[in-house]
Amino acid sequence: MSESRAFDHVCETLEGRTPLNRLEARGTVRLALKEAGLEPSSVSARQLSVVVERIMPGELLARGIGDADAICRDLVHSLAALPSADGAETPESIFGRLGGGAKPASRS
Amino acid sequence: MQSISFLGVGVQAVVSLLVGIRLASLARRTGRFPELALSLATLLMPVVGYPSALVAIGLERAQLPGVTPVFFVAVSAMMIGVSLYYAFTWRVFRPNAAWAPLLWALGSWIMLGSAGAATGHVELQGTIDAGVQSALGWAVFTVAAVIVAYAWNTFESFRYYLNARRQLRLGLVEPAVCNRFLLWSLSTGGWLVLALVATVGLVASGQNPLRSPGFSLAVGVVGLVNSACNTLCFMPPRWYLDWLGRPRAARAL
Repeated sequence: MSESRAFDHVCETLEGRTPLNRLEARGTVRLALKEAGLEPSSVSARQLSVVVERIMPGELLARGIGDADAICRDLVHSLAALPSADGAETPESIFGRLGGGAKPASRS
Repeated sequence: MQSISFLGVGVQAVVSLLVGIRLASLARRTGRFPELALSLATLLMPVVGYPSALVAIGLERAQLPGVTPVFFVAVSAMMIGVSLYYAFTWRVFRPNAAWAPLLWALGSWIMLGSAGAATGHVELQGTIDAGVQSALGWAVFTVAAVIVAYAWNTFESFRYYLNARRQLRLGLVEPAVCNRFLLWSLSTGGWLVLALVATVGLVASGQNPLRSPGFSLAVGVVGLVNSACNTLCFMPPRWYLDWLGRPRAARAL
């Protein structure tokens, strides 16, 4: 199954700015997403920016990458510039609607 | 035992009617498929299908005419309802999977085709029990397709519940939505258990499961559980949403 554009963007940035190779970068992001209960195929830029902010610094530090905070800060900024896919139907938005209008929580 | 069965079926029919109407009204406003599929499935199965099956049995016991047509209406309503469950699971949880529409088409074809064959046997044999016994292979085929539909639905919604619990810690999902995945998996899980019990009964005794007091009791209990889950899932009272919004409830999810 193909991954979302936000997922590819984060993986490519990590590959370019850290010593991680393609496989390691993708594996690192996948592990962070799994911890957050998200999937590479459907994760949105908004969701991924939360993961990058809250989970990714720890993952990068665990892999011996020193400037994790700066990389993650830049990633959050670049994710904000990606086209939004918030209008797309997701199981969360559908179940929010079916029960009477609750929307997926927004942090930003 | 029979009173619990009737209570469960009755409560479920009323709750399903209310939920179905609410979802149909939502579908009219939004024009979206998920609410349309669920409203039709909810109205067809517990409101039309199951009570019609009981009417068919009642007609047969009273030796009145019209057993086969009513049985046909009951089986058709139930199978179309389950087919809509397949479609709901595909469109909501696996919209991009190439195998999902194939599974829906295969499941619907098996259910509708074999249910039609079973109805033909009922007409030929003269009674529901004799028809089901004579068409045992078709009946097992039908119930197997129903089991796949419920198992798929239950699996996907429970998987999303587990993921939503993790998202909840990061503030990525509302507690009510997380809880709704759990309620929906419990609701369809109840039907799954019922379909499994029906299959065991069919294979073990070759009898129409609706004749068994144990199965009727299970139908009643599942009907009550299903009604509670569907009410909290699709027509949640304000106090329930308020409770879910509290940090203590969110931790318990």
